[in-house]
Amino acid sequence: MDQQTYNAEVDARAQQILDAAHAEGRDRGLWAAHALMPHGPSEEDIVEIIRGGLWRQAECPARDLLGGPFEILPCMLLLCRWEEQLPDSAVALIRDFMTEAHLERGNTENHWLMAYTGMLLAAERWPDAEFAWSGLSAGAIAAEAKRWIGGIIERTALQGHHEYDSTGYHIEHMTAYIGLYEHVQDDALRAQVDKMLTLLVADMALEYFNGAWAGGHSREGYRQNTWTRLGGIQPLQYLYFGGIDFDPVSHTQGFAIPSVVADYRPPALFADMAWDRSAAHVVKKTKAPRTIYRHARETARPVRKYTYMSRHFALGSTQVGLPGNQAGPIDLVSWDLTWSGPNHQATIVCNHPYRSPDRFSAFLNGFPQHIGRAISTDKPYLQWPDRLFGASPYERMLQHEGCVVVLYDIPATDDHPFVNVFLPNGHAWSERDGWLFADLGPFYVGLRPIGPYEWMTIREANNANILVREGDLIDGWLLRIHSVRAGLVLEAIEADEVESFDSFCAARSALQPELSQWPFNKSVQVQTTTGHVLDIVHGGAHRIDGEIVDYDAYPLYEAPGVEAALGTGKVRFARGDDAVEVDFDVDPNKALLPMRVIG
Amino acid sequence: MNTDACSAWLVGGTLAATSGIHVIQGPGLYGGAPNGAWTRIGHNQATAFRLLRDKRRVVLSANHGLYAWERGEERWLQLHDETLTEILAVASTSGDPGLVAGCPYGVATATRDALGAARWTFHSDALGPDERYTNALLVDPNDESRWLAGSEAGVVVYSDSGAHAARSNLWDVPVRALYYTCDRFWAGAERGGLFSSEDGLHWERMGGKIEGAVYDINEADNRLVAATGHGIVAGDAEGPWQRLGPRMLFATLAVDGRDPQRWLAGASPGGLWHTEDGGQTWNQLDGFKHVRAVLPPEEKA
Repeated sequence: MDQQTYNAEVDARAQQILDAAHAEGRDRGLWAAHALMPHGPSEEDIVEIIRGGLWRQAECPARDLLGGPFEILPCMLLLCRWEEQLPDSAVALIRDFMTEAHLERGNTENHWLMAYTGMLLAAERWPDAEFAWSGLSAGAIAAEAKRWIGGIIERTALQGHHEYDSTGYHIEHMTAYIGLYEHVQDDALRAQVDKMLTLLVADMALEYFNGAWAGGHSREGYRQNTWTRLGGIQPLQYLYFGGIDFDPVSHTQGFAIPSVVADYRPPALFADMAWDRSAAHVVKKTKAPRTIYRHARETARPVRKYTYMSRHFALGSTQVGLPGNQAGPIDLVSWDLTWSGPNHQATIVCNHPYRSPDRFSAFLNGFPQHIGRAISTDKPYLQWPDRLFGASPYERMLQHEGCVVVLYDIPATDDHPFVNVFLPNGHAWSERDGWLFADLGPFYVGLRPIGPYEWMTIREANNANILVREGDLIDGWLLRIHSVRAGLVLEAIEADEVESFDSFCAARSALQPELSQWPFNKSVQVQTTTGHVLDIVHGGAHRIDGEIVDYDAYPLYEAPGVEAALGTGKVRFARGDDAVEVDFDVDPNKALLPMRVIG
Repeated sequence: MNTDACSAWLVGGTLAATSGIHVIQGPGLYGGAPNGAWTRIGHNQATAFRLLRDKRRVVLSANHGLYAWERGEERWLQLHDETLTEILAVASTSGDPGLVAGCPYGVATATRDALGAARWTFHSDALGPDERYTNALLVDPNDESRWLAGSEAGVVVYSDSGAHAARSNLWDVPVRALYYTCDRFWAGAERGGLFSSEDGLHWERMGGKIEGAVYDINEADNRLVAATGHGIVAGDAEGPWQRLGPRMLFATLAVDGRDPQRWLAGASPGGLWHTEDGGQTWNQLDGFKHVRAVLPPEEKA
């Protein structure tokens, strides 16, 4: 598709989203008011939206307010986009807030990006203002913001995105960078932002699977990782890649509206990449090491992702690179199998629901003695034994194409000495020689729990204060493997690559995993029905067909048509005659920006 | 400088049960007196971890930034940059801004750039994560270029203004409090109680067993007093420690230099507690839910 045609399609979808947001009344918030502005709202309406977003119910001067990234960015994007249409009273409110309120950066990458973006736009817009929350000049505030934004872009270009591939938080990154692309006055920074957006859209496209984001995610928690399509990124997935039915609810989420109304358009070839199901292929990605700042003697290693994009399913896994016994960000999802279908009916995933206060204090500064209770008071599901997300420090995995082996070596003293496997309950399962099989239409799946399992249900509801009747958050089978040396082997295969479902079941169950060295030597071997051998030692070497897997050799990206050597800041995406090349022009001798956020 | 910041008790805490960026009005620094009202100093609403008062200013080290309330000024001045955050410890040195800061990412000092902003340089990048994570800082009163850091790995001694870092023998245990008195360094550990050292490198345990972690150390009437995970303890560092007051995680304990029987202790959670009789009886002061930093009034006042 040529860029002009693509842009016209994106324009049409953008208008569809904005029209729906307005028609559904979803345009009354600070983020989504961009959908209201073309309709000529009254001054009273605009002021109400701004006061509602920044003051909420408080009746106080701006200097008594506390503002964070979720106020700083949307108010500046609203101002920058609609400055000519906003009444003076609205501009004054935003200016008062941005100069008088106490503004804080938060502690995640998306927090800092949103905060520094809003602060930079404010400092550029009001160069002579006094910023009471800082005391520094607008020039100093802008300089700090540019150093961080420029620095994090360079880090991403060299090492991979830190808060990577998050269905929930990628949208905050996109909206902030698009806001900078549209409004920042610094041309050099704008050029780098344009390149950064290319990488972030490429991240979305390379693992796009019919409206879902396949593979591992730095953050996909909050009990939604059994959903097929989820998170705030859905509006931009629809906007940039199309191809699915418009959903007036999920495609009008507020965080995305400033990006939807923007003029930024990604290169058209990413939409083609996103929908290319012509042949199965492997996508490899390197992502930045997790931020683990205590309970560790060594720093984390880079994250390596491997995602097999088949025609009718996607299987993705992650080498999380975590040091020591504490897991990374609490909503990390390391692997899953994804296909097309309703929520809860198109995902298989397993997880050890590791719980320890140390898992929080490894990257949060609260006292270890209290942080377990403090965090789980706000987010109780982070400690639940049924949890299906959140990387366990005892989990290791090896994948080759449509087969993955996941092993756990859990201390016997662990609070949760078991592993949870989620299976959809809308399909008929069969069992043969310890293998469970499902005929999923265009593809088949077989999985072999390692260890004694119990077949249970899992049903969680968003509003579960009295009785859970329908599991709108999670609803399916839960296989609890009651073993501290649990594991799972899973193989998926396209239906047209085997004679029949029965033949796949027969072939798969005939090749039992080699468990004679598990758990004593921590080694498991699995032969795939396609003739490959996966050999994994928990905490040791990974081999495919006898060859050691060299994760250190992973580039920044590896996929058909993609060239992206790690540590160069140079990336080329090509498809047919189209190509997009970005060179971040990073000085290899320049020290990287220190990483001071989690993600 | 605002008079209150000199003559008043200063409390870094929150009046709400929760704090942080997801609330419309957050915590901040409050000035007042135990039996009077508490007023926010300026409009800063940062979550305080440590307070420091020196000749020039009050410094607020906080969850998302570092700020100073300088004498003669009427507002807070930002001292952090894009590399410094979650500042758990701070100490004065000479120069401008004349501070050593400790945070989960290490120990840093700053200079001013051409725009007047503090730009921080970290001195701990070669260390491991636990060694970098700094809970407490102390500048050697005999050598300003030598700093003791209470880290998650133990006491790290930085010398030559951060050019070198050495492990002490108080190791493999998080150290959350440092103090200097009687020509000796004192350290409060996650386990094992209180330790003392002449040089900062060689430590010995002092006094009896202390239940829980030690978060702050102070002195009053020739006794050492410490804020611990299970209340306040006091003693002579030779015999057993006497536990005083309610049982909770006290993160800080301040003693009024004008009246060493008057203490204010901050708990997180638990709020602000006050004693007028050296810890025999305690009263909770209304309002505060979480307090991690308290400073007594300036003694000259």
